[in-house]
Amino acid sequence: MAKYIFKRLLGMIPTLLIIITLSFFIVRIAPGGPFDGERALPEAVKANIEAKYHLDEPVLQQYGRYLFDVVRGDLGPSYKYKDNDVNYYIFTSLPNSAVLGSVAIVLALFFGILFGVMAALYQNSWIDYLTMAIAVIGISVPNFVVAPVLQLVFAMNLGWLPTSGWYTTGEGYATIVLPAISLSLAYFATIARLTRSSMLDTLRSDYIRTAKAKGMKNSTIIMKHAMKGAMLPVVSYLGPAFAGVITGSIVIEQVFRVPGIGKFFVQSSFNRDYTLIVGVVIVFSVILVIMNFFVDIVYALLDPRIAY
Amino acid sequence: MENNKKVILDVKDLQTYFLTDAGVVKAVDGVSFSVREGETIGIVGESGSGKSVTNLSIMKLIPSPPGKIVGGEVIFEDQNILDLSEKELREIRGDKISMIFQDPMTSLNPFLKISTQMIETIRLHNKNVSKEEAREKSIKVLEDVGIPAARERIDSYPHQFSGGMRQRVMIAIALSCNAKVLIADEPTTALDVTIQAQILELIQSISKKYGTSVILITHDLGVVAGMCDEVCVMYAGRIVEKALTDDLYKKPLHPYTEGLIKSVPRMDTSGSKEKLFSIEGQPPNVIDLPPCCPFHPRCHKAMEECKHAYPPRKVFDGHEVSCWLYATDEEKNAVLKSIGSTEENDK
Amino acid sequence: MFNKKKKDENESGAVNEFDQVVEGNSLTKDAWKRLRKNKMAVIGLVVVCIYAFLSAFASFLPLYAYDEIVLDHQNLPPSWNTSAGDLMMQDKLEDLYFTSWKEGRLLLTDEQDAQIREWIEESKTTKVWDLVYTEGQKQLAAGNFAWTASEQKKIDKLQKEIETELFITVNNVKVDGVKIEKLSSDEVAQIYADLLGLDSTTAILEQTQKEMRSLVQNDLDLTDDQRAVLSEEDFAKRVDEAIADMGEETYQQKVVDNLVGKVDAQILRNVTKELKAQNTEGTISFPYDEMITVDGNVTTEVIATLKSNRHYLLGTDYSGRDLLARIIYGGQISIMIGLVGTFFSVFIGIVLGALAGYLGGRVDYIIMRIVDVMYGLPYMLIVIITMAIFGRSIMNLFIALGIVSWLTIARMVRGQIMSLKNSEYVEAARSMGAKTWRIIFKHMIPNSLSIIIVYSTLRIPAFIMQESFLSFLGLGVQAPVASWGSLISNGVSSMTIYPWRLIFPSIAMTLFLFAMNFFGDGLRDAFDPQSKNQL
Repeated sequence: MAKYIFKRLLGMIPTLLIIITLSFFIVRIAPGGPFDGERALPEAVKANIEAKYHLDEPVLQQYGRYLFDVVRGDLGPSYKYKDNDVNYYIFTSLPNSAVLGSVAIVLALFFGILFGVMAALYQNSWIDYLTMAIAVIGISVPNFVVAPVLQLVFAMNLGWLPTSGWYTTGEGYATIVLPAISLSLAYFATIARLTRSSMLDTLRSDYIRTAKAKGMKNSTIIMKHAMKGAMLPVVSYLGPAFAGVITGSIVIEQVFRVPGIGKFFVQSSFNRDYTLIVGVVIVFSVILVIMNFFVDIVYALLDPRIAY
Repeated sequence: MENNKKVILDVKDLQTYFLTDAGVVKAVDGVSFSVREGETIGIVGESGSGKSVTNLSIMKLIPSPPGKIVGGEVIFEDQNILDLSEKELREIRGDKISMIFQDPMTSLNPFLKISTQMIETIRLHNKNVSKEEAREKSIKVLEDVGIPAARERIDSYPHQFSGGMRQRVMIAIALSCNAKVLIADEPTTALDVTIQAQILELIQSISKKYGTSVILITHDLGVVAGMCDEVCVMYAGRIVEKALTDDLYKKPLHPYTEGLIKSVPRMDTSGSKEKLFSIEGQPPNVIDLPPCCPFHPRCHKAMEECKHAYPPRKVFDGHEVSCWLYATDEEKNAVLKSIGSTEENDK
Repeated sequence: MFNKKKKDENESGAVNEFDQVVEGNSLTKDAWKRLRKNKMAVIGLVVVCIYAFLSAFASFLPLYAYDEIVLDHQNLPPSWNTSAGDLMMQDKLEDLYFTSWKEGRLLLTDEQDAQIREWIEESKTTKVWDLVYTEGQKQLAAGNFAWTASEQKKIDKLQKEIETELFITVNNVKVDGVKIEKLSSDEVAQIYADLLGLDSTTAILEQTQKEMRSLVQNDLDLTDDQRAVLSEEDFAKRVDEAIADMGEETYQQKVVDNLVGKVDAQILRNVTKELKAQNTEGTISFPYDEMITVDGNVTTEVIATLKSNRHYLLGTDYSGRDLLARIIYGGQISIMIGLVGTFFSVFIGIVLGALAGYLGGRVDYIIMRIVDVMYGLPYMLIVIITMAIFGRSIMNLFIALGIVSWLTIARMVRGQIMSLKNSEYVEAARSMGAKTWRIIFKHMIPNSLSIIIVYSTLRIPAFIMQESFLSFLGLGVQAPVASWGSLISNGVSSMTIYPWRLIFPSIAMTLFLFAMNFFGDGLRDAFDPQSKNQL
């Protein structure tokens, strides 16, 4: 197992290296630099700024410097915000996004598996149909439609929950509910469908027949014999789900005015604040790569057939 | 034929249908046989003849829907299994009647250790056995079925065993309780030829040692010859011939059985360069089968009667057969007369 | 009995010894049968067809132009039978009644007052306006309420506007039956001079020349920095070169087009004055569509409608553009992006997957490593970066989405080719001298086509969602072009006051995605019944 973990850890390195390299060169080739829009700068000032951002060095040296900085955890200065560097903006907003994303994933996993298993057990019952109906809605309706509709109905018309805001700014923990539900719906839907179909497949498998022939109770069979196998596709789906939640949170944060990292991402892509965009992408990618690593480990723990 | 051993499992006129979109599949249509204490009975037939469904029906393990047991009785220990509640059934399954399946690769849960799968079975049917006791018993049974270094290997996962070893584990699980009847559903089909013999021998010796009755399902008449006391030959959901093994081999009555026996390669018909016999054609699709002998299109002795009604069952000295060849003239005439009249009606 | 019936239905079908019908089944035929049995999939297919029809023939439908801004008609609510003018008037009256209520001239019951205050508290302004309007109209009719002089003036002014504001278009300007575009620049200049009442065309031609040159200068392929350092003479030289490159004929045609535009504009001005005068006299009725003669031998078709006669079935947006037209044209864009994007990504996927599978070895290793790494990336973010850096255009959107979404199809195709390459019949064919790539091509197409089609069908809604996601963030298509995502994004900003601007685009998009998903799922189940309900 230790060997497997080590191998997986090593496998993360090329991915991260590619991301950082791509980021560096994207910033280099992108039109418009840190002083775009401030035309006719005197040569001296221009040189000063170039020296400040190390733009006067050879490209390879810049790349080495950048790589070294990123590995140290320094994402450099922002091209647009002069007060603080990229790290400051990312790490003050990241916790909010992380809370939102985690709550959404936990909701999606818990209810997705619960409803998926129920739907498989009581196939063609009302709970099956209900689950599948919600699943179809969740898969077909994009989150930027779900979010405002939920906001319109539950916050504005019924007044049950706050319209927007975030608990860190003193608006209460109820502010998490609507954003988290809007964000999790699509993943709930997919997980419920996956769980249902893989549970049905597993229940048809030979080893479940064996378990039945042994005289085991249905509920025991499901919990003890079918669950592990049925969860494998769900675990594999978690990687794409994390990526989706990260992307989706950008929209959700915008609709519900959550002070998360998504705001900076959108703003910086409008201002062409390349260091900030690239910083956000690197942080997201690192999170995703780590998540995928954990997914692989969980998968290996679940399935003994994986060769360590 | 005399047999004074006690009948332990009695299947009477069992009927299992599958209700599919394409029509009703009469997978098992009026099957009867009995299993005696300590004896081995073979059920032989091509794939799709209903042998597996028969045995799943005995355990009431038919997936429903689409499957449904529509008639018959399965008497075990003076009660009809088919009438039992799910809870009562669970007490019999795996405890008194155990099953071994065809494919040991998929029949063991790949996600659980062998120890877990064995201990849970033992403790399921003997509530007062502790985990440690169950573990010791498992190791003993594993040694019984010939797994070397059972104590070390019991905590392995199924994929760490070879196919033959897995089938031994399956047998061990089946024997870990108080099995009176062991249903072995093609236990050797998925295994290498060399392993096949070992597994069959194992089943035979276990049956002797524990006094367990065995229902052996197979498509291989050669296997039956060496192992079974009695044989049922199934075709299209019915038993077409049933006899003691020796009788059946010496004097097969049904043309289908005859064909099956002839198509087994034999060493003793020495040196002859005869081509191996094979039965022409394929078994019928049993969806909405009209009344007739389902074997008639492949039968070289087929007569007019065969096409219009299912043959009556005849018993000659304990040797049962369903074929028009052995029907009385009155029975044949009755069928011929009825077709004649319907043809006139059609005109 | 049952068998007999079955047999009758399939007269042509062969029958075996048991009177059972023996039917040959091809995969496609079988799949089609299963698909037709799936009701939701069929409904999905029908809905998709309707959408496809509407988008394909959008320009032939009786719709208002999707990008026509009518500032008077901002945020009008949807209505089946009330014209834009009436809605404008109602809007104005609601406003005036509300002011009157605030000033204490419109008297309501105490309960109503309390209710209104509560609504204002909850910012449910729509309800407030509805109430004061109905109550006000009632009281006005009963004579309990009267407008002040200044209010009455405002109402009259609006009424006059509603009655007189026209939409006029001038088409098909002809001179002696010849289309004006076919004439020479001198002739067109002469007509323009006549219209303006000038004696000579010299000034006109000079002005046009000047305009043309500055147009060409703007189109020169230069960066801002280069422009800053170029002198007048340098520019003049470059412009001359550019015009010479263009060729005399093309240049002349451009001059003519410029002049024709001026003529059209002048005719429109004259006609507008004329029609407005007729409208005040009441000697004209709308819609008006006639050939008229302007100035001797020049004729033109004039179409005129009263602005306030328009009906907006689904209301209008913040610039007074017809929402129905925008949804249909937005759908056109969204569906096109879905189709083209899918085609693009499937194409890349097939090429790279085939290369990896066929060549194997190092190429395969490199391509599959890229796939693995890209699978681990938050790829929508990459798309956003690409859009941010290379500009927000539809073309860039295609490229960005295409770059990141070929992964799955490449894996599928590679797997297919690998298994084919190793299959025994390919081996056999090869031993008989057939070329491997030919065998693979011949067998892969029929084998993989169904998988690729099914996958593509499920890809289209995903693509549309991604495009809309970007447009929602403002990184997708840019106004005045609409897509469902940008319409929804606009709607969200004002959903409490003008909910229809959010609701209708959302419904349009969701319905299509539903239909597409049901159809895609049905197709997959039909082609691959084993994987039923799998994702």
